Amino acid sequence: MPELDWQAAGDRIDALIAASASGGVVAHERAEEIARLVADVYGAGLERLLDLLHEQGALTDPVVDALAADDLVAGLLLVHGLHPYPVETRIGQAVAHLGAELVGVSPDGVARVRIPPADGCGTSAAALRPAIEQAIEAVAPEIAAIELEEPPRAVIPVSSLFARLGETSAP
Amino acid sequence: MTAPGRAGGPLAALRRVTRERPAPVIGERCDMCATPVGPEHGHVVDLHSRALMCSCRPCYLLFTDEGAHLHYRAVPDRYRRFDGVDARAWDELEIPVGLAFLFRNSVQDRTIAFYPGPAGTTESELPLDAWRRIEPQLAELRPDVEALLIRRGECFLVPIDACYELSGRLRTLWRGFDGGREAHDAIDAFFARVKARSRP
Repeated sequence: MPELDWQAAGDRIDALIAASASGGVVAHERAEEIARLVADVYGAGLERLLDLLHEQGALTDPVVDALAADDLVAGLLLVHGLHPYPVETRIGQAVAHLGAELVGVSPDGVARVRIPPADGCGTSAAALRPAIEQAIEAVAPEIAAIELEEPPRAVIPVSSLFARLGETSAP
Repeated sequence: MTAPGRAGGPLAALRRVTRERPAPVIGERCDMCATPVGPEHGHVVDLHSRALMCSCRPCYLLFTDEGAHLHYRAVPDRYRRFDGVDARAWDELEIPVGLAFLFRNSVQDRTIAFYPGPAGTTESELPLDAWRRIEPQLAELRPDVEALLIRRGECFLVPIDACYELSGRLRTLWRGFDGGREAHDAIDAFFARVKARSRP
């Protein structure tokens, strides 16, 4: 069997389900149900697999880290809610790449993220939101909503306005 | 809503279908829009495949215009009683079982007779002379959606979905050569219901 381009396959599943709608609402529902049932069977298998590995003491930290580091394996584990890392760890790592910080996850699935202070060119919550949403959706699909916390805008200290005054007035 | 595919990564479709678990729909649904419909609902005929489709009221009403050139046509809820076919005319119709329904196929432009039996319905062309005798009754029929239901001494105009219903029931009840007791009881019960709903 040739190696599967699983990313293309994922997109193709989406496209085929969407195309099935041309056969009517019921056809579309059936297509979704097929995909759901197949995914459920494989999800149950993955869960059993992890249980067996755990019983045998094979799920050591290096093994768990290797599973989490593989995009395909981690993606499938996320589909079935089996990812070994807690949701806070996953989000924390993902938003750290964007310079943000996870404040916490509420029990009803709301993630609070503190974004870095706005810099001179005006990076704001509005500009960062899409990137943060995408990063969180990819690693924590169970999150229902995201709240961004913006640090208070820094006030320019008056002393800094005069900092260069002495230089220019100097002869 | 985000665009499918890339937005949530390549496995977004799998995550979506495993997360969204619609409650299973119990009971009949509209074959056009999948809305649940009650046990009493209308039907539309697909004029090309002749398939009868369950439909909700809004979808049904889309196809009630008799003059429009449509792919589907709503089955009206009309029952009429005509004078029975006399014995001689009945014999000339050469109906092999005790019962037949006739309707006009507008796509093929011909009148077709159906006889219910153990294998569903058997189709037959009408002998030309014989069907002249029941021409006035046939002229009353709306093509494709209404049928003339006849048995010895009785003649009704009925919606075509009623004929499908009777055929379906007979197929499950039919025993032996002539249908057996249960099938005949079902036919009698059906005619009693039709008679009760019909006006002259």
